[in-house]
Amino acid sequence: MLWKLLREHLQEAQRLLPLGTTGTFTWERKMHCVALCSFLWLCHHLYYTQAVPIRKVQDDTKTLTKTIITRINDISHMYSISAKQRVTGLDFIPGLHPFQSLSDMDQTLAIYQQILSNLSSRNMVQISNDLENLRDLLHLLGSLKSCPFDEADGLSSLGNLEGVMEASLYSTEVVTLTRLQKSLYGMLQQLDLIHGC
Amino acid sequence: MAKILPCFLICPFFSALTDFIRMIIADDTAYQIPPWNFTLSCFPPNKTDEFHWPSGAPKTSSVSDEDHQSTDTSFNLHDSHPSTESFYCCLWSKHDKNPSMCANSTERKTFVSPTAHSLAWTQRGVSWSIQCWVKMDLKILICDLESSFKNSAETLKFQAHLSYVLSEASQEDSPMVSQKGDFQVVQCNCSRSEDCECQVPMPIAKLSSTSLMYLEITNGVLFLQSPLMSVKLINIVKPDPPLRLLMEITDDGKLKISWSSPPLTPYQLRYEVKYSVKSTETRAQQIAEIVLDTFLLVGNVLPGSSYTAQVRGKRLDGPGAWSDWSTPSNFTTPEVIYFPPKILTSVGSNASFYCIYKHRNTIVPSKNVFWWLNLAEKIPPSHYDVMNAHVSRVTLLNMNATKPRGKYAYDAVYCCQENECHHRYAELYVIDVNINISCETDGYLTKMTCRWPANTVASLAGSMLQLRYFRSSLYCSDFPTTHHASDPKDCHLQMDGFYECTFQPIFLLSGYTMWIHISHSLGSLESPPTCVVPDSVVKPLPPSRVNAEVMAKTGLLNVSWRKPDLPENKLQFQIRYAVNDHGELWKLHQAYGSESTSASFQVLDFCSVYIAQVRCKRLDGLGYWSNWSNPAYTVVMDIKAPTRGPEFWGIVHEDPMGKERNITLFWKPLGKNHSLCSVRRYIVKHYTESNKTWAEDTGNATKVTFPWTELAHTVTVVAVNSIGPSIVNFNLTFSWHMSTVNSVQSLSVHAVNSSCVVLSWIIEPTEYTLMYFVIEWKNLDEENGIKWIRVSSNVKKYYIRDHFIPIEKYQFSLYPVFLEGVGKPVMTNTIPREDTMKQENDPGLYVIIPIVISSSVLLLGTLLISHQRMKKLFWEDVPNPKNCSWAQGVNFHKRVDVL
Repeated sequence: MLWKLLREHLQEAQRLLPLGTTGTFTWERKMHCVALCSFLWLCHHLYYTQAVPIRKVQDDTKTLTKTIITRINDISHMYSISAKQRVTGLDFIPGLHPFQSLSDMDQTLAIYQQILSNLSSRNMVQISNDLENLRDLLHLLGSLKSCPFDEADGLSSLGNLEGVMEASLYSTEVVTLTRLQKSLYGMLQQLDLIHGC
Repeated sequence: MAKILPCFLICPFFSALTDFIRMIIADDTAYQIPPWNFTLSCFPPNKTDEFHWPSGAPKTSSVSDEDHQSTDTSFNLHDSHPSTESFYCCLWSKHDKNPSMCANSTERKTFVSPTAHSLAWTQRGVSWSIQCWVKMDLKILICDLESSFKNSAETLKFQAHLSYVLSEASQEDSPMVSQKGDFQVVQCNCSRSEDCECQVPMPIAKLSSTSLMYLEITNGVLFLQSPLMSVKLINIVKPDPPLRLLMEITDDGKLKISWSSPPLTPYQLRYEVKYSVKSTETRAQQIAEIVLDTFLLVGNVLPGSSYTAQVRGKRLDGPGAWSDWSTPSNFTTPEVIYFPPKILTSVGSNASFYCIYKHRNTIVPSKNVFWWLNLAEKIPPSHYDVMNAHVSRVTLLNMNATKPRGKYAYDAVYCCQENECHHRYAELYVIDVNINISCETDGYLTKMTCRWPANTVASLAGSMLQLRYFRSSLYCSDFPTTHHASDPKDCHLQMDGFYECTFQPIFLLSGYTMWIHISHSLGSLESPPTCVVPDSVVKPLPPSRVNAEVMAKTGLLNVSWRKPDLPENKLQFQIRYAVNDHGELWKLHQAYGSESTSASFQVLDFCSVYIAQVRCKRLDGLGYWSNWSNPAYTVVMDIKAPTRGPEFWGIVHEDPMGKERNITLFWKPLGKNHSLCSVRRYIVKHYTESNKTWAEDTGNATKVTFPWTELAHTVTVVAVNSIGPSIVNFNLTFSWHMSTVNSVQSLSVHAVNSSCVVLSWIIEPTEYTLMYFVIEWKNLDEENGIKWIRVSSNVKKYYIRDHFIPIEKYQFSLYPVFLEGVGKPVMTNTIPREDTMKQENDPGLYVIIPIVISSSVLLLGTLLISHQRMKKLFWEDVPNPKNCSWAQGVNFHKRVDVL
């Protein structure tokens, strides 16, 4: 069925664009071209959907989220962090808030990734890489579901934050990882609930 | 634009006055020295029209056109009549593109006061051809002067001086302002006929430096001075000639003339190549081409031809001088040309060779060319293509790997005419590049290690292997390709012959496409790309906290574990267990389900120590099995009371005075199959004829002695473990009466060998109930060497397995044990010698005896033959009558006749 549709569109395209034609397009022809392009995009989308099942992407997203949570748990100095103690002055680190969409998740993760990339240690680099993969998965999931995706802004400029991080490296790391872990837990629950975008 | 200050008429004492001359010279007022030859022409003013200008020179505009690239100066013969006797000296060049640079220079006259007349000069004028250049090291500026006078005698009269001043600033940057006193003077060497050479040392010159200079020439009569000359050194630098001129035939059959630019060239060069070819088909003809690269490709190469080439260089941008020609290079093309001469390719690919074949001074038509492989196999003509009249092509399809033949790691491809092949051949290297790259991600999911065998392309000596990779953001494409921007990865050779590379940190779900790039002087190859997602090649950490125990109630072996923290994927587990002894026979079980944390197995031997291990792998089958966990061992626990008590035996020790008898009981420790699974202590229970009973706890001891005081004394040994005492136990009654009852008629002992003795006996019937026999044996040379064994009552012969020392004496006793008590034993003492057995059984005898017999027969035969031989010898030799008494007086001549 798909091939039949494709063949029809290709024939239409050949009819509209004969070799050596240099004349101007009519509005109707332009519409046909748009339809053809849309169809080709659809074909590509369907092919890709078939190549990477959405179920696999969802599973990988959850598994990778759990993996990052476990990684944070396994960092030695995270064992003894008191949940009661509140650290002030690190407001640029996102707090826990309910995610509205896949795009929202991506936005939040982008900020975490940006902060982690400034915390230079092997653990942080690995978690930053995981976040990049996780964001890629969210993008893929979004594209498979045809969800609108906003370009992640991240922190527009770290500015003085670099100075804050440099002076309070340990605090920044602990707070970032703690909040990231909570965000990931929230994301994990949300992924089960979100069936759309 | 600055202008030249008014020129002065100078008195005959030139040197005294010039120091005060101040000149401000601008770029456009001095003659710009070109990188090629230019001419200094001096002539009297009345001869300007008649002066013989060389062809191409701006004859009419030389003194009148201000725009001409010519500068003239008038020279006065007399200081009192400067305007009538002055010489004009002009600098000009026939190669100048803009002849309008020449200007009337009457204002720039330099006055010279001659000391004598020179008719030739004054009448005809004089010219010098000049060329100036700077060597590339900028250490010296050279100007060569060649006089138009061909008479060397006149030339020798010359004296030339070059005055110069060097400025670091570019003329474009700022006008050059110099004083006459700033000029330095060098004397030119005019010793050579017709020529002078002026060498100006420039120790601090740079390419951007500029020099002002002028020439002073005198023959003793006239004193001539050139106009002021200016030169920017970069414009007259003469490069060194190119180096390492080489010629070779390229892979596409062209002649490549290549060279190296001279070292430390500060600017880009262009080159002129001249080459000639000489062959039977063509005459030697010289061809010159200008190129910007350091090579020139020449097509239509002919076999058996001789090529000669030279190259020179010149500054690419702006003016400059051509270098000298390089040393000529010669190259003779072979009679058969293969292109490419060598091919390196991979298995399964196609390769084509081209060939031009000259045979006996005639190029073989391509349609007559045949191709052979290794001089052993003719390549089918269907693989040939006629490219043109002389070029033939062969294409080998879907090739297999080259099998090295001795030291030859290639296939030799020959271009032949019928069955005649030239000895030259092309080399074909077909390499199997299917290199398997295997990767493994560690259990922490932070590191991926990839390995690949190093010996894959061992046949290609001199090759360099490098792993290259690129990363896709997510997953792998279905068809990985190497056509992508890639990075190299450092890999290290391991002891096991594999290269190992590590990616850390990793992108778990990214696709790492990697391949091996093989670099060789013949070319480069790439192995088929492999794409790996680190998440799919995880080797998890083994399960932890593994525990194994045998459940007392169920008799099941229960193994429990804790799954590793990572990966978060669902896992499957394998459990193996075995009895812990040497050479475990493992039993393997599979446990599916990520949540599994334990498994139970039915085991037969409850009382053994079991060893158990667990490993895990992703449930979806991706990745690898983890290593086996650390072993866990079961602890043996009693599961039931002992099934029976130990078998025991007693020895009666009688006081020599006959007043006291003691019984020593001893028993073998109860096996775990009966003790289930251990014995904590043994209890000996006593029952006497007078109904006395008591129990004696012997602990773990297996021997106890007690006095035998009553006529009958019955004992039982009970084994006790943590569950309770043994229920079924053996009894033994020692009775005074029964100790005299004998039921064994005879007992004989035969030694089979040092480890086996056979006992046989004959029973005679008695009124008592015979339960079993006990055979007891001991080494009489040892005190505590009593051993015993219980034998069924229906057995008549028994083989005892033990280590018997043949020279020592043993006592064997056979006790009948009746229900009523232990009977009277039959004893025999024997030395278990096995001499007889040995003689019968020793295989050495069967070998040695025939050898001894054979040797004896052989010796006897030898003696007999020797005897006969000696006899003959003695009879044939004539005895010496002096040494032999019996021969004295015997006539041996007669004896010989008789013989």
